[in-house]
Amino acid sequence: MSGNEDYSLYWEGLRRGDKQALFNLYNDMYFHLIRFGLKLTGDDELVKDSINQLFLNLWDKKDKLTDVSNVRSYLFSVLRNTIIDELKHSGKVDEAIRRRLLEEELDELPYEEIIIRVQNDEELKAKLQLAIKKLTPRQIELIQLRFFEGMSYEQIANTTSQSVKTAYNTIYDAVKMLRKLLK
Amino acid sequence: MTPHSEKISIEELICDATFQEFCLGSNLSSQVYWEEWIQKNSHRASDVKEARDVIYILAAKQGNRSEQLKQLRAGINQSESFKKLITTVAVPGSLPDHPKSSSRTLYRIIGAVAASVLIAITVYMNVPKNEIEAIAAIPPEQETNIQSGLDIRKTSILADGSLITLSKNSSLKFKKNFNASNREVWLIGEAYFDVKPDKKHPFIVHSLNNDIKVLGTVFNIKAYPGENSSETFLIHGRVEVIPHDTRYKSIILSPNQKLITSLITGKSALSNQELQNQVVTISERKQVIEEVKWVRNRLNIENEPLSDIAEKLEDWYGIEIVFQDEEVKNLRYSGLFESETVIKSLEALQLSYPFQFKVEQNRISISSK
Repeated sequence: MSGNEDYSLYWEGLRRGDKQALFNLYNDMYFHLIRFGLKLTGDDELVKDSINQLFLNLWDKKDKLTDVSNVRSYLFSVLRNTIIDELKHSGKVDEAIRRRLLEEELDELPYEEIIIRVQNDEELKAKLQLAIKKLTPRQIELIQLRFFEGMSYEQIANTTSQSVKTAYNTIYDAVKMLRKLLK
Repeated sequence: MTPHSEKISIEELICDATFQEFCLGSNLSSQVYWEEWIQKNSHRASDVKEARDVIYILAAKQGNRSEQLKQLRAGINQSESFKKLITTVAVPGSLPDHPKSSSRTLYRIIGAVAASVLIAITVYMNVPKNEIEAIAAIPPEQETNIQSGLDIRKTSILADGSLITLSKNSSLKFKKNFNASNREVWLIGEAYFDVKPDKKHPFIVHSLNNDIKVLGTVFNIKAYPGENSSETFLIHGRVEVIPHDTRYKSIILSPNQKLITSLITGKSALSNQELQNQVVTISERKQVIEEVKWVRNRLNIENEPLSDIAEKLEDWYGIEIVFQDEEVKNLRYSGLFESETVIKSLEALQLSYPFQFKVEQNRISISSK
């Protein structure tokens, strides 16, 4: 996990024109930004496009970027404006909603809420909500690492200090239970 | 990849790393592998769908970070090469206004990039040749450049054994270090590709609007600058077409499918230019032949010596054929051959009489053993 210090280093690199610094910042912030963006809208495509647009703009304007004390919250707030602009542009947002979105806290939504939020099918949403309550926090954590953050079983075993076999079995049992509950 | 049993459970499918890659489209070899597996085990289709649905739910549609990063890289490269093009080429009075960059929205800014594509294309005649190459993002490193010029066909065999026939006014570039594990080429114009299969090392063709990622396959690309559309037609195997414009998604083509990328002409302003991607399936054999007619050779041979046949092949495919020894020159053949590549023609001839041939980049040598 990168801390704010790393983000500041990447930010400095970006201002000097170091493209790799931009990509490092992107890699470290991607899931955080996705989780924050999905809090504002359930439209995952819009969130993904907005994130890429945000980084493309940063690169375009790298010479004009100023010193930022908290890179993470700066990126969150720029993403929020990008998404609101985009929603407004496509006529999906009125003034009242816009004001409410602007008041959203600059933090992320937990994984369990995101997977429910992005579903369009109401019946599935309800089932998912119930199913997730039956899983242990450990099971949810490992499922998130594997399916949401795309970690390999080896990486999961390392980060959670357990064997690959145990990590796999935990996920396997969780998946088996979910399948039964989602039927 | 270790083969998966046809009796694999749905839970095992969901937890399988390569199956997940297949579902999320993050790894082309997993994609090819699982598509084949599904085809072989069609009785498991509904189980596969169920497994896939669970994976989609758990992945929460958050996209694949490395795929997204690739798109960002492409976007940055694209915007840089257009900037370079626009600053180095003076096009009197026809450049669109850049949007006042206060706008943060995706579509407006990329719209300007799309307009640049059109500009680049319409000013083709006035732009120095090396600038056109900048459009196809050909890197300035040391490279080999094959050009067909006015030749109707020009055939080359690359270091990895892949065969490429260029149509007229086309060029193919690759870096000096092109080899069996580093397979990347840049194409302007039209070419027929017969790519040596190698799942571990994808063959990548960069063309005007798209990059084409290949695992071992036969296809035809037509992308001349200055034309309103470009085409990728797949004959065998599988290719992934990755548009340079990050607004468009990658498209996997199956055999006999053709992707047509065309400019949609906006009503008035230049900034309305957009590209349209359309996949067409060509099912009739006659039509398939029509698509590759420029490269397909029909040789009707009546008791002719190999030296004469070689001359015909030389003329048709645009590649030099030399004989290492005299005796093979006089082997006589009869028959009707229909082939899409010079190699396939020679292999067909080999069935009747044994001779050997060796290929180099722009030469084939025939010997008795």
